[in-house]
Amino acid sequence: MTAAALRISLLAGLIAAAGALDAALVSRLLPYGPPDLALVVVVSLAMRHGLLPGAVAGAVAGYLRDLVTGGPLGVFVTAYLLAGVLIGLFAPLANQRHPYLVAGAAIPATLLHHFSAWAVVTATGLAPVAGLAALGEAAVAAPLNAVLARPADAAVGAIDALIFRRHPARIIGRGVIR
Amino acid sequence: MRIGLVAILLAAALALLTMQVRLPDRREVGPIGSLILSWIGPVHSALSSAGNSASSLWRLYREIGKLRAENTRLREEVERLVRESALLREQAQATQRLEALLEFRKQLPGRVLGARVVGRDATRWFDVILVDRGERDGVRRNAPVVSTGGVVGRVLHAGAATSQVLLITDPRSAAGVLLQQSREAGVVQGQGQSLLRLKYISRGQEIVVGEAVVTSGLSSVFPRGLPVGSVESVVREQGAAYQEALVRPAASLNRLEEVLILLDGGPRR
Repeated sequence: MTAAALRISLLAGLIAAAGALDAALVSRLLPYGPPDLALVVVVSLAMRHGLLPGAVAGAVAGYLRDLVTGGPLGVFVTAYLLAGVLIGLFAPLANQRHPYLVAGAAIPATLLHHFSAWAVVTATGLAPVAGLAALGEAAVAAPLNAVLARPADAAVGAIDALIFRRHPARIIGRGVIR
Repeated sequence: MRIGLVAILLAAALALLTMQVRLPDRREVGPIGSLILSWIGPVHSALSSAGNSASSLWRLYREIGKLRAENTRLREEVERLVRESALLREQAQATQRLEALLEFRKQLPGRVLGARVVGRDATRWFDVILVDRGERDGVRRNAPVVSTGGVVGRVLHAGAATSQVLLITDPRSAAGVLLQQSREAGVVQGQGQSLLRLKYISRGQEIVVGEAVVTSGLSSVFPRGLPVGSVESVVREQGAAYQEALVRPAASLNRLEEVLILLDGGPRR
């Protein structure tokens, strides 16, 4: 298996696992403003590898989320994609060695993700969602996502390190291995 | 290049959304989505089962915590109730004793003072008890002391607030008595044991076991007619001028808790 195929498989598996955990466990434990593991993985990927990997990871995570939630496809694709794009755009400006980089990035990403989802649902008239309720959920979820950012980033880092060990000649994305 | 790809992705997402929203059910996952869902389904089920198990374990853990706290509370409650129950039993028994004492008091002559037994000689050489009444309550030396059963003894020493009472079982105790049926006079003396010795009963007089022995009033201490005890056995020695008997005291001297002190002691005239 090539490095790219292995990398894509592992990262897709990680996103899928995070999404499954979100849907099956996390959202049941914390019904109001649950943390979003898939989003945190997207943030980590965008921070490590930049705009395009972040956007693709966001699209995949959003698509899986749309599939699982039962809503129209595209709502969460857009929301996760925008979050991945935002973080990917600002990643080159950040100090990649900062220990709380991903945790700090998870907060605006969460707020943008919630706002995007609310905006899409409201604009398309899919469901009546109160803006204040959405804001409250985002305010609860953001710090939780920041807490979960480090373990999620460690998982992404472990995949990067694995690829780097097996294919040392390849530079993965921007090649950040913490 | 990258920006262009990202823009295409965004446009595709919005196009997908627009297309989905226009559908009658506002959702059509397509063959790829169905395939992915068929993979995700079992994973969700497994995770959900694990979550249910974890949730059950957590509930069980919390339940155990609650039960432990409740168990501790109930144990404390039981201990408190046991203490209360013992106290109430004690009070009920004390009430019964005091009622009997009060009834007995009506039969006694002169002024009578109730006293509580607060001490007992620990050596067992002397049969002496300590009561919580003394000279300032009017108690004087040699005042007779009785309980519901009968004669207990006499005041050996009256202190200011407490008094020592010499029990009739002490070897230093002696009292003039009568056999209640035969009216034969004698003297009971303590032996340092649970039984008293009845002396100086003429040999010609038949002593019936079980016969009651009461004070004769001939001594300077006890008034007449107080129950002393009952004949337990008769002792006849060859060649002796008198016969003797062993008398079981009427009062339960080992279980004394309250006594009555006859302030106007001495024989009734």
